[in-house]
Amino acid sequence: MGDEAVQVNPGPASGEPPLPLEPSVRSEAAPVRSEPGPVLLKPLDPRVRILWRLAAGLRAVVWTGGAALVETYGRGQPLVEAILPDTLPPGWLTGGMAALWILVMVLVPSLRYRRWRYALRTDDLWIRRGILVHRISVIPYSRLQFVDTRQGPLERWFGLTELVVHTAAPGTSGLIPGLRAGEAEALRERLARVASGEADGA
Amino acid sequence: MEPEGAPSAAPEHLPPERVPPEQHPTDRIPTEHLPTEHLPTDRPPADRLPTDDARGRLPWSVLLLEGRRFLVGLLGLALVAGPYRWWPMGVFAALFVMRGVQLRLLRYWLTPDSFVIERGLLFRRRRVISRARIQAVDLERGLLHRALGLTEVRVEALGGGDTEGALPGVEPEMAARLREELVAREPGRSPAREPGQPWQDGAGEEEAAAPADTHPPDPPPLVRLAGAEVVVAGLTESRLGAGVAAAWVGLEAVRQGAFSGWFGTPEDWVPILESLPWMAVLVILGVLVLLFSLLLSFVLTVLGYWGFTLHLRGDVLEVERGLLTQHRDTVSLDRIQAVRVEENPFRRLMGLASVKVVVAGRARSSTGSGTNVLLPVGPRAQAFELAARVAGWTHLPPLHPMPAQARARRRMRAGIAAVVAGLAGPTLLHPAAGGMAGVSALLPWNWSGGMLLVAVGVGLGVGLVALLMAEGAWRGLGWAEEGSHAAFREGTLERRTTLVPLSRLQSVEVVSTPFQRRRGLATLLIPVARPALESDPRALDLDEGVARGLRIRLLEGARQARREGADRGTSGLSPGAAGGMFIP
Repeated sequence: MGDEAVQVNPGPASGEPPLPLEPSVRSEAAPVRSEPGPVLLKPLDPRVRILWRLAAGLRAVVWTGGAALVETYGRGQPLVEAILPDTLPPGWLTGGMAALWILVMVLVPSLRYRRWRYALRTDDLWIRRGILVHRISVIPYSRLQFVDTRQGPLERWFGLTELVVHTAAPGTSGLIPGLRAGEAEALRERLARVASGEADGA
Repeated sequence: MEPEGAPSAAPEHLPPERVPPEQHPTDRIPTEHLPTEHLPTDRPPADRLPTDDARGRLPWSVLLLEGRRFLVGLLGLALVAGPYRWWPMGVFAALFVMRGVQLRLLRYWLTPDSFVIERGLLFRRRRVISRARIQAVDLERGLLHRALGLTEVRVEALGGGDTEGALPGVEPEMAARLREELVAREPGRSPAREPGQPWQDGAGEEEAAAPADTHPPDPPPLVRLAGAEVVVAGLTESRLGAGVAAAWVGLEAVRQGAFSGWFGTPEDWVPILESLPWMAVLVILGVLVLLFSLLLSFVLTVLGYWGFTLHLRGDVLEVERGLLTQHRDTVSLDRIQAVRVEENPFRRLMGLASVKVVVAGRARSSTGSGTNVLLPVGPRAQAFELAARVAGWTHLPPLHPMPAQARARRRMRAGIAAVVAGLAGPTLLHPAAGGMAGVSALLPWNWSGGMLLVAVGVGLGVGLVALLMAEGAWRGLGWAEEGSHAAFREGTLERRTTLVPLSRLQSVEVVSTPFQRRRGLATLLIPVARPALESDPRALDLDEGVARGLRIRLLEGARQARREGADRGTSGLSPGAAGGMFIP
């Protein structure tokens, strides 16, 4: 899949200009100017969807198995009885859990894949993600502290790599999953080079 | 007073700007090759700071200081196991001896680019803190420290949630020298012009303690609180959490039978309490807890902030405070990630505010409350002026309000709260539910429409309060951006205004939940190098388009600010670049 232009930033600010808090004091025009143009956001490797489905499948097996165990051996236990009343048909917990996970397996990877995009611009790294809560992070290269690549067993099997970017702020790291291994290494090297260059300059 | 006869040929007041970086190499030339006029006056004699060849160790009295913990443990053990079990005491004695040996084996020293602490009995652990990573140096002297003539030194560095380098107790002179040396971050370049009283009891800031003829007078402090002002700070501080916790412990102690001789046994009280409706008991209890917590917060605040003085020496902020436990906290201006002005409800009514700083590595939990406070309480205008000055903002622009949709969102929430209360209220209040006996007797259940009436009444009451809160919450929101700085405000009852120098920006995030997107809103976050417990500066519920435009402006502002900083020779000090931590 090639690059895809996604208009993250429509030209001029579309919303109403902010109202002056004290009209007499501040009577300038809207303080927000338009952005230079659209940002080209790249999608992840499409195979990452299959990887996510597999990972969700593994979790589904664990959870459904757990539910089945509770239903088979938990009958008569006071704690289980309190949470799972007898009035419900047998097998509903296992069935429900399986159905839920199948739904997750089918829906979530595609949705997540569609939302998760990234762009390497001249000065900064853009990452867009989040299915329900949309999140767009912009990380200037000069603020990068560490760039890691990560590969779990499943990822290794697929030949995919995860790129993790850290700044000095706690908990804010950019994450780009589903990069082809070679591409991730190249990206890491490139980010490292750009970042150290920027950090020296600024 | 240490360099008694030190030549003071340098200008009396260093300009606020740091010396440009071109001069750094000169500073590194061994001092013996330099004519004395070029020596900074405040340079501590190198031979008095511990070096790799002459490593520093903690004085013997530290053992007594550490002994208090074992005393507490021993007392606890005696209470639990009874005082006649000797073996636990033996274990404690052994632990104490081990700890003592550990402390005696602790060594610390300075190298040209780091501060090193080596400790451990069997396994020697060496912690090397790069000077460039040091964020703040805080000194503390509790009552026991003062009795023993010791000072605790805490070196806060970037990364890691905990205090990076702690010396439980060193001589006050050594603590003062370490502080100056480490805050300067470059060997022998202490920005604090006044090298400092060794900070002994009573020395404080008194001019009389300094030889006035050899040293120019200290610049006047940015903040100096009189006793009455500290009392005001105490009266308006709301540390309800601590108070409630303490009250709970107290109640539990009473329940366990402590103080039983004082007010009679709990058995005496039970009939009296049972004769009251339990709503009344709840109210009485609530008032007691509130009064107690207010008293506790007052006492803690007054003790903690007594004699509060804030100095700006060079580009280093220095806070001195505390009546029983004395603090001397030092942080360099370029280590401050953000400045917060907080106005709690009491203070807002009186036109007062307090100022705090966000410093990486200085966790709230590990250093106790108040370490990051620059102004415990002061007039609103003074608070904002101080915050702007510390953030490097020449003047604060007025804040823009958030769009009407943000208000609509809050009103919607108030409406939902009203409906939920209307639905749940009657069921909870009905005598059949057994609850709220005091109130439910007053309600018109016997009337046919009583249930509906109660539902509507509760719903309206809750709705009205929620609506007022929603309005307050919306009015509390605001944002401003101007070139190199941004300011965000939020808070319904307590308003918090955060000023961020954009050179501290680590990234920009625009986040939107489905509820926000429905109304075309988004939240903009500026992650900074903050302690994990603090929150990032954010603008809640901006217009989506404004958020996008602001994002670009903030990034541009950050780039500009860093470039200007580089020109002035003060960047590279922001944690991102300064640490030299970049490891590809």
